[in-house]
This record gives sequence, structure tokens and C-alpha cells, in this order.
Amino acid sequence: MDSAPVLEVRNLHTHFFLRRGVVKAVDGVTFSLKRGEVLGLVGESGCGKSLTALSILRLLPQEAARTVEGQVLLDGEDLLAKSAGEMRQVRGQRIAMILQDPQTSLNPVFSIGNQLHEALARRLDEGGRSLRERAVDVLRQVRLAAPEQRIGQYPHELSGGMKQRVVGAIAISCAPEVMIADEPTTALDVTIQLQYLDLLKELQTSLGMGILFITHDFGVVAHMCDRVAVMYAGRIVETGPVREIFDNPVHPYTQALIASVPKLRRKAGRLRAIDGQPPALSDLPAGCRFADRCPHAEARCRERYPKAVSVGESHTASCWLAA
Amino acid sequence: MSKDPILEVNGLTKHYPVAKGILFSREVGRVRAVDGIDFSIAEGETLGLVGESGCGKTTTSRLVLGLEPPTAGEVLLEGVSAQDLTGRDRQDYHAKVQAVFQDPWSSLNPRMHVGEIVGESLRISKWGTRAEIEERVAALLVEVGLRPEHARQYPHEFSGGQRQRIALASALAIGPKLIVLDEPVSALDVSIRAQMMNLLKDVQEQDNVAYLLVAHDLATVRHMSEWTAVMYLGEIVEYAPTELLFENVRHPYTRALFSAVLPDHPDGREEEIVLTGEVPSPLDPPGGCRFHTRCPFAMDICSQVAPTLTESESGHLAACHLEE
Repeated sequence: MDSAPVLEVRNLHTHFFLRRGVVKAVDGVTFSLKRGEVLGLVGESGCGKSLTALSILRLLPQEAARTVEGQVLLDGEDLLAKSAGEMRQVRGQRIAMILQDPQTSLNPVFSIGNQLHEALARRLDEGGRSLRERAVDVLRQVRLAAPEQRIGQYPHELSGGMKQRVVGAIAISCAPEVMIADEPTTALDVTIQLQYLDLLKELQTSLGMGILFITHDFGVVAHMCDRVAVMYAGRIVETGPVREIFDNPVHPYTQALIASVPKLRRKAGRLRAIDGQPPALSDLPAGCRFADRCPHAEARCRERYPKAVSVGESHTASCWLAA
Repeated sequence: MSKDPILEVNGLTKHYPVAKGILFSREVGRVRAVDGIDFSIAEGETLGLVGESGCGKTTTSRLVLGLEPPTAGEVLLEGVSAQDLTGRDRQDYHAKVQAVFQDPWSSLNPRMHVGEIVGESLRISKWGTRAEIEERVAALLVEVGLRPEHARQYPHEFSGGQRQRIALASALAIGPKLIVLDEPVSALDVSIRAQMMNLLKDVQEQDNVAYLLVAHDLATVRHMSEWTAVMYLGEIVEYAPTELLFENVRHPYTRALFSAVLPDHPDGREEEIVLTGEVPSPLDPPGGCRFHTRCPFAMDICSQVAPTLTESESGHLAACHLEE
């Protein structure tokens, strides 16, 4: 997987400007996604992972949130410099997105076929097939049973798993280069979750997309991802190949997160909980943001933010103890 | 079972009629949400109830809480039926069985401060004077890892993990015998889940309260409970002491649930059974074994005769024809 990165995010800062002050929700995020790779962006709610995704697509809640610094390069072109019209050509066609709740991402008053047509009509078909034929074909690609019948149905007639497949079908309908999946299986049942993850992997291999997979679940990471970026309080604290992150986590936050998950195969006496809570994003400390919850914190951790240092092959961590 | 059961559930059934027409409505079908289940929970122990959405686990918890009357069967708390209670007896029942729900954003009244929320059941039951109640609330907040001065604040000032602690404190206030925990950690962040699970175990040890834990995550159930029951389409398909069940899974559906658990390491992939398709409608569950439409080992008999729970080792029950 040595191909060039299809998506590069450099030093991205997205802040909320509120009456009570500035909330630095994304505060210097850098990562790259290669073609045919699944990059897991892992973190707790409020760490800025979803806002990073919205910043990439420039779908920020208007007025309040603004990207103040950084670059988002898609095949080398900076998306932040594009006009609103040019951006519309990117969304859905070159970068597709799947959200957590299929119930809210589909329009309840339009049929499945209708919603697929809308996505498909934006791209001419080489074979000259009708929209309907193409819609059936995409639904078949996402393994929806009996696509010919489904096309006339409405979202409420489908189960959660089937709806999320339709969302997947809309996402791949324009053969995007990048797919952003924001917790796509959190709302699904366990047995359905596994089916859906396997489907995404399969689609990724056949279409050669890069997937930015946003999740808080290390099980999903272990199953899906090639590389992992761990995010905490607006910044990425550790990045590395998935095996490295599991076998040799360097940042104390990554270590604690992995240790705090109960294991299925063995019974632990007491879980190793992480004490306390993440810092408020409107009042961030000068030093390492995890210092207050970190069992190894020293004086220098509270003074200055640690630079990302290399701790292994393509494995970096922002921690004074690793430096 | 060594200890006396505090809760006994016998043949519990809940059907919801589906009516058609408004004026001369007639019943056209029944959603068989819970269909004849038996289980019991001993004092100070935890029973984990696992299954996919729509399997009836939440309906079961509502029946145990006495929020709905069962269609058939009974719920016995300390030998007393939960049904047809009136007045004082009904209040007593609700004092003994409390609940903590999944979503701490919707389970706490936003217009009451924490002291009122936690002390509400004490006030209603005229547990003591105002000062005594305040003192008890302060002690409860400390027990769940909060501070007494938090009693003056409102729910919106707290994070999800703290809110779930408040919900637990208010469930504990009146000194219940049983707490129904409906997915108590699944709405919380990963780093907060472990804190909450540890707290639940500490509280159980200290107050000797029993838990009915409704969850879909097997690892959580293994960690928390002494007994595990697996539900599928309104029926219990496997029921055993947790350690026995996790060491030696008997029912194919339970095995499929295990296979669907995501690995805790990139190399830790083991997939025995991958289920295809989705759970059939409880409106018209398949005949015979309800799992036979998705079971990779289904035989002729499975579609004709419903298997019954049979006991193999010490108390390990499973309902499957393969086992016979």
C-alpha cells in the first residue's frame, strides 16, 4: 500500500466562535489517507472526529463554526480554496459520506429508487442504461435482497440494516475516491454490524476507495482498519499501523482506552478505568491535554504540548515520555 | 442455585394485538414480544439478558418493572406477584424494583435539580424529614462518586457519565432489592464505560442489590453477571451460569452472537457462524424452532417441532434439537 495519498489533511483548525468564547474543537489535525486504505479515526464523543469530517467536506454549521487554518488536499487540490460551486462537484461524487443513523440520512417521503436516481443522475452512464437499471445494479452491489422490489419502497418499509445498505448504495453510486464513514454501524445490531463492515471492506477493495472510518469502538478498528489515528481533545495523539497500535501503544491515552474495554475471552476482576473526563475545549491547558488523567504525567507535561515523535515504522505519538 | 431467588419469572408472556380498522376494529395478528420465558435472580446477583433488538429483552424488563401487565405468566418478587397490586402494595413493589435506563439525557427531568431527582422517591414514600432526606441524598451522591454539593445543580450541567451516576443514585435511594439496568453503559463513551461498570459492581457489593442487566454486548455481560440468558424472538434459547455459557456455548444462535463480536486484536479473528438475513418478524414467528430460518445447522425437525430448554450440566439450559 505504498500508493500516493488521495486525501491529505494538514494542520486543520476548526473553531466555534461563540459569545462565551472560542471552542477549539479541531485544533491542528494532520493525517493522510492512501488509496485502498482504511484509516480509523478513533476517539470519544466531543474529541472533534466528526467535525474533522465535516470540515473536509465543508459542511460546517454556518456562522458558528469556521475552519481558520490548514489544508485539505484531495489529489493535491486544496478543497478549502474551492468555490461553493466547485465544492458541490466534490461532495457525493469524489468524497462520499455515510452517517451513523440511516433513519435520518434517507428522506422519508421519497422512494428508495427516487433517492438513488438523484445521486445517479449526476453522472452519465457509459453503457447508456436507464437510471432504473443502474439503481438496481447499485443495490445489488450492496447486497440488498430483491432490489427490483425495494426500488419502489419507502425507507420506513426497510429495517435499519437494509436502510444503511441503501445509504451505502447512494454513497458508492458515483464511484467516489474517498468515503467518510462516521460510525456507520453504531445504530445496527451486532450480527448486522458484522455483515455491513464486511460489505464496506468488499466495496472498498472492488472500487479502490480510501475510507476514513470514524469510530469509538476498538473492535471495529481491529476488524476494519489498516491504520489508526487516535484523537483526543481536538488533536491526534497517536498514529500508526493497526497492529502496532494494538501491540505496542505508546500514548498513555491509547493504552488506557484499549485496556478499559472488557474482553470477551477472559474475565477481568476489575476494569482499568480512566479517571476524570476530557478537558473543556473552550479552556484547554497549555500542556498535554491528557495530563490531568494520565498516570505518568510529569511537570513538563503540563507546561508544553509535546511534539509528535516517531516511535516506530510510520508510528508517531505526541507524548513527552515517548520522546 | 444456592441462594434464594429474589425475583422469579414463570411463563412470562406479552403479546401486543395488532388491530385493523378504527370503528369496528378487529385483531388481525399479535406481536409475540415475549413468549413464555422463565428465569430467576438471586439476592445480590446479576442476570444478563442478551439478544438483538426486537428479541423482547426490553419488554421483559418493562414487565419486571410492573410498567405493563403480562398477557400470561407471572413475575414474583420475594414470592409476591407483581400483578393486581393496589395502593400501598403497589408502591412497595415499585420501591423494591428500580431502574436505570440507557439514555441519561432523557431519563432525568431537566427541570428538577439533582437533589430533587435523587430524593424524589424518598419524599413520595415519606421516608423521613426534609433534613434526613437531604442527608441521605448527600450520602448517595458520594456513594456513586459525585459530591454532595452537586445536589444543587441541574442535569444539563453534567456529562453523560455523571448523569448515569445520578440515575443510579436515584434508583438506589429507596433501598431497592432489584435494579433493572437497561443498556446502562451503551450510551456512554468508551473511557467512561469502565468507570460505570466498576461503580455498578461496587454498589452491588455494598448494598447487596440484584441486577437484571439488559444488554447486547457480550463482553459487558460476561464482566457484570453471574447468570446469562440469551433471547431470540421472544424466547430464551440458552440460560446458564455466565462462566459455563462462555466456556461452552450450546445454542447455534448464541454461537452466532459470539462470532459477531468484533475482535479485540487485528489478528484475533474467529468466525464460526456468520448469520445471513435478518431477524424474522415477531408478528409471525417461524414455526418449530424460531431460529431455524437463519440456523446453518437446521434439520427437518427444526421447522416442525419447537425444542424445549433442556439441562445438560449443572444448570446449563439450551433449547436446540442438535443437543438431543
